[in-house]
Amino acid sequence: MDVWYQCENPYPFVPQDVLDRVDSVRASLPNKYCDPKIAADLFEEVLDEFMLCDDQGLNVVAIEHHAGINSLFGANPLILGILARQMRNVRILSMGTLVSLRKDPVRVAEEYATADVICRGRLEIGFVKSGGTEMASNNANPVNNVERYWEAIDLIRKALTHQDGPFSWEGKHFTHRHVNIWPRPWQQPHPRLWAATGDPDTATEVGRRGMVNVLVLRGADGTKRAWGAYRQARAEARLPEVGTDHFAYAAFVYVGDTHEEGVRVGSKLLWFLNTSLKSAPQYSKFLPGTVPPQSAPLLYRSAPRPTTAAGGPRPVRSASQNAATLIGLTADQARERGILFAGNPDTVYRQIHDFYTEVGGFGHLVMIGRSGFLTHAEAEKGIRLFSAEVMPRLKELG
Amino acid sequence: MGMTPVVSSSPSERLSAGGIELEVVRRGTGHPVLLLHGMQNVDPRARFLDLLGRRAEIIAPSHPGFGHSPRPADFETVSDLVHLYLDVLDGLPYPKVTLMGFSFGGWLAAEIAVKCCHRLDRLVLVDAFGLKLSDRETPDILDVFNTSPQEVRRRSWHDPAKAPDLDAMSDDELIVRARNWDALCLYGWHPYMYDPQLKRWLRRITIPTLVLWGASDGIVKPSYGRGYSALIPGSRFEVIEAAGHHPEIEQPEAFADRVAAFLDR
Repeated sequence: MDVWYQCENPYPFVPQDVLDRVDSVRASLPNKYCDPKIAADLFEEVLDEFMLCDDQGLNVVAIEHHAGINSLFGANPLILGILARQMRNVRILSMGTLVSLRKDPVRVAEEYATADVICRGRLEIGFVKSGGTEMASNNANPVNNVERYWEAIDLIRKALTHQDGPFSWEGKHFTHRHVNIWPRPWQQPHPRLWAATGDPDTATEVGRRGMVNVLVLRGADGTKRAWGAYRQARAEARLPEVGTDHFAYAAFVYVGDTHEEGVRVGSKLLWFLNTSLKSAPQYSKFLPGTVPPQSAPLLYRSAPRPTTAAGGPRPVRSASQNAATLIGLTADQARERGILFAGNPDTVYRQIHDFYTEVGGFGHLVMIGRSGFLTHAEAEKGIRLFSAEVMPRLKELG
Repeated sequence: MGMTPVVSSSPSERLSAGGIELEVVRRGTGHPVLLLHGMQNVDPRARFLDLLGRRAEIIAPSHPGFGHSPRPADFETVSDLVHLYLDVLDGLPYPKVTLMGFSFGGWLAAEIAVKCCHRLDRLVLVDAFGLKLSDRETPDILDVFNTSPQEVRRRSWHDPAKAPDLDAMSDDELIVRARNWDALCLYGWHPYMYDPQLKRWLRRITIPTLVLWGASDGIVKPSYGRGYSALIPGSRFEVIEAAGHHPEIEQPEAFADRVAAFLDR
């Protein structure tokens, strides 16, 4: 198993009474609550954590979220550029520039090729569909978001691999008549591609394309459902079976000297669920286009009632609906659901091992190792203990 | 108030145009009026239909993606809707009709009238979208997708108690509402609910035009309606008191009286 470190660089220092008063801590929270001096310290700390990972042999993930307390990494390509230059050893996953929000995927391909050349082939490229607050923050139509997502991926892939001079792209959502990026990527034909989704329909397409499917905080049931859809889609398309290296799972992970310390400090990571997910209804349940209209009876009423709608597909839980089920989880519940792996090296290894077995194995563990008020010193301690005591045993899991 | 009742055992009436089957509400006899709905498809139970139906034959299709009208693949622009309704006009058994549009449908009606005045005898725009009038930092039209539902409700109605109650709706009504919401977003997201070029061409509307506005409309204000009217040569601008963005729902009698008087002029 390969292991990856992720920190979304959240900004937790907004007064609680402000957070309680507003209807959303993303998209609409005024940036007067973001002190640039504190933000600068946070960037420095988190980039230092990534550098520590580089020393420890722990790969890193750089994410992108916009306009909220949950993450200051709105400009993924800038972060990626720093990591590509500064880190010397480990692999770097961008997960990723939110491609359905960007007007020109060719520029995204250019950024990725540049980063891959700077780090001499240690780049991995991840794609994320984006959530409701991202649509608002980026003026992106949520209704045909998934269409734009796939078309952008197609265009990026072609721009990364086409080596014979300008080509033309006149797609439904993107047009670019003269595509010819320099440099081309270091890795041939292109860096490995990942996609973060827990939605079985999307996982089906991810499977047909043979991308790495990463599940974020979905627990065992949701994870098995998505990976089952992935494998089934490949079988139906008569594509070869893939190994566990095509499956990744991301969860909160914290390792302390003692089990008690690991759980106590690791519980701070749940700030992400309990505080940073607060999202107004217009960015979540009333966001157009994210779930089929048949789900409206379950979503629109102030209190759900037994549905009388007969038949129809089983409603799929959107990312925001999944998030809603996570708000308010206790540390014990999070550990039971496979969302938090925390304790001492032995107990953390055992939790990960049990989850690994339950979902049928996976080739990549993404540890979300810092969030909320977990301090820089605590994060570095967790990274050191994890890489020294847990990572070697996980590598043996295959 | 609210939505088309959806009862699978009573298929709604259909209207076919350009190979697309539209659900349609028909009411009344007399002067033919093609009615283009706004953010929600027309509720057949709405009182204004009966009132106006005493004077006019109302033909109110649901746009593709709204109500129970299917939306063909890749049919997703205002331009598609405008050309579809040009087909509908060609298919109606009248040399000329009155075109009336509410809200989002008012935008469509203005676009159609610019292109096709020769098939129209009158135009009625009710709390219509479609134009950019204010400066670049002042939105004319409330962003209903990025604004809290409570605020949208408050600004939609003179009396917010008139707003539809989602808790009281049937599953089928809620499904239709979700279809309407998705379709509106698809067609109107960007530029948000207007065509930057339309202002230039409104001068081509040479038929008698009534621009009718709810005095309390907080989605798109009466001053915008006045500006709209000023760009259509010879048009009349009137407000309906004690009504918000949906005067046909909040003040059906006043609404029907104003429209009937205009048809008789």
